[in-house]
Amino acid sequence: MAPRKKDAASTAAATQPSTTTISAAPPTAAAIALKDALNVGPAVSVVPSAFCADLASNPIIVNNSSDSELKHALDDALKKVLVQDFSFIENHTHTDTRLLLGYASVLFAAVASAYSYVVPFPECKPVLAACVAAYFVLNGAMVGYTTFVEGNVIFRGVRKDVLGLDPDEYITVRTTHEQFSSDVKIEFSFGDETSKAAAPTSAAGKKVASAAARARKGAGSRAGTVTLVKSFGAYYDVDGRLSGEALMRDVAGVLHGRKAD
Amino acid sequence: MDALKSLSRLSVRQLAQQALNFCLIVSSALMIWKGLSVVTNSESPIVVVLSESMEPAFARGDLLFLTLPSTPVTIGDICVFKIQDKPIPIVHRVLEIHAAQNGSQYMLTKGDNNPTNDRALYNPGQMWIRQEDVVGKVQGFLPHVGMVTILLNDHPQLKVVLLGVLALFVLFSREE
Repeated sequence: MAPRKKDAASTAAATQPSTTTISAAPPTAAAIALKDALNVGPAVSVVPSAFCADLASNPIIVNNSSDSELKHALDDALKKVLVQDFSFIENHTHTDTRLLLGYASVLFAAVASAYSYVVPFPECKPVLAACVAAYFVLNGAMVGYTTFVEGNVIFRGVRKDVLGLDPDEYITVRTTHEQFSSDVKIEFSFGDETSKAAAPTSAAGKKVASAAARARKGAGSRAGTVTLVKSFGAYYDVDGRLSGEALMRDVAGVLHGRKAD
Repeated sequence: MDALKSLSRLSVRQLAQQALNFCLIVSSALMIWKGLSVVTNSESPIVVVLSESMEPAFARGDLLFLTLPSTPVTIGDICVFKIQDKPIPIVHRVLEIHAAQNGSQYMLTKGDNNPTNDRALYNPGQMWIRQEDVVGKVQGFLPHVGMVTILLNDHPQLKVVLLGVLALFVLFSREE
């Protein structure tokens, strides 16, 4: 098939969705590209993105060489996108439990030091021993919770249907990054009230929807897992600036693609 | 500053997490020390030698590991003991032990490198050390490592600097 002749104007105006220099494109061209990618019909207008507006005023620029910074900034941005643009309400249980256990152990440590400062040594031993034991138990509990219960979950949230017709939608987002790799794996797990975003299967590769998870009994047709494997270069440009549009487009693709099934 | 800007981007919970990371490091070190002192039954389980009175066995700057066993002290043991109203404990060898009728011990000590016994160091009128004055018995030592502690004590500003550097390092970096 012969390629269509493109004139100079349309070449300049149309930007490829997978480019990383999207932040340099003029707003109108970006809006056009966004609309094409979201594939919304003519009856639906493009909603302005609160997240992208936020990024325009407070840009996220990180050190490109630090995988840890790249991943952390991406995690934070993912959370912001889901809350600001897609109306999810974040569930802070994991974070709060972790903070509670941590600060409780620090409290025991403070009590132990204060007590042993006030009461001289041989008499303070029993209380000191109890506080030290409590400190290590609580610390161990916190580490255990972070490793086994929280795992690599970065976001848990719920979205209530605006019209009140559909049941609440639960989402769990997990991100994994292998050392020395430039790829990050983002898993979106969905569920409803009964399944509450079931654990993902071991699917990898670009945009795999897990049919097995959907067929899981009792989970209903709304449960499932979508996995995204992207390079950091898909979201960060050569200066380390995060592209809000690229991230928002991918997340929208995951959420809307799921709804179309 | 990049670091300050990255901190300002964090939510309240994330800031609390960063502060917690710092507190956990400090309190872990503290609890290990206190735990060690409970296990060894001695108030200060690791001490640093400050004088040359125990040469050639211990030099200035050596680290000593102490425990306080329930069995009584024997002649030849190197003990760390405190003289009442004197703040710094003394590390010397036990020379003589006399036991009274009721079982309480009276000890005479001397530093290996000193010409005479420690009666000059005791309080006026005190001729012996008793069991209660003993803080611990030396079980082992590490040469020269304690010089760092001597340095930190001679220049207390270094402690503040060290803690400040640790704080900056931990507060501005996020865990993997």
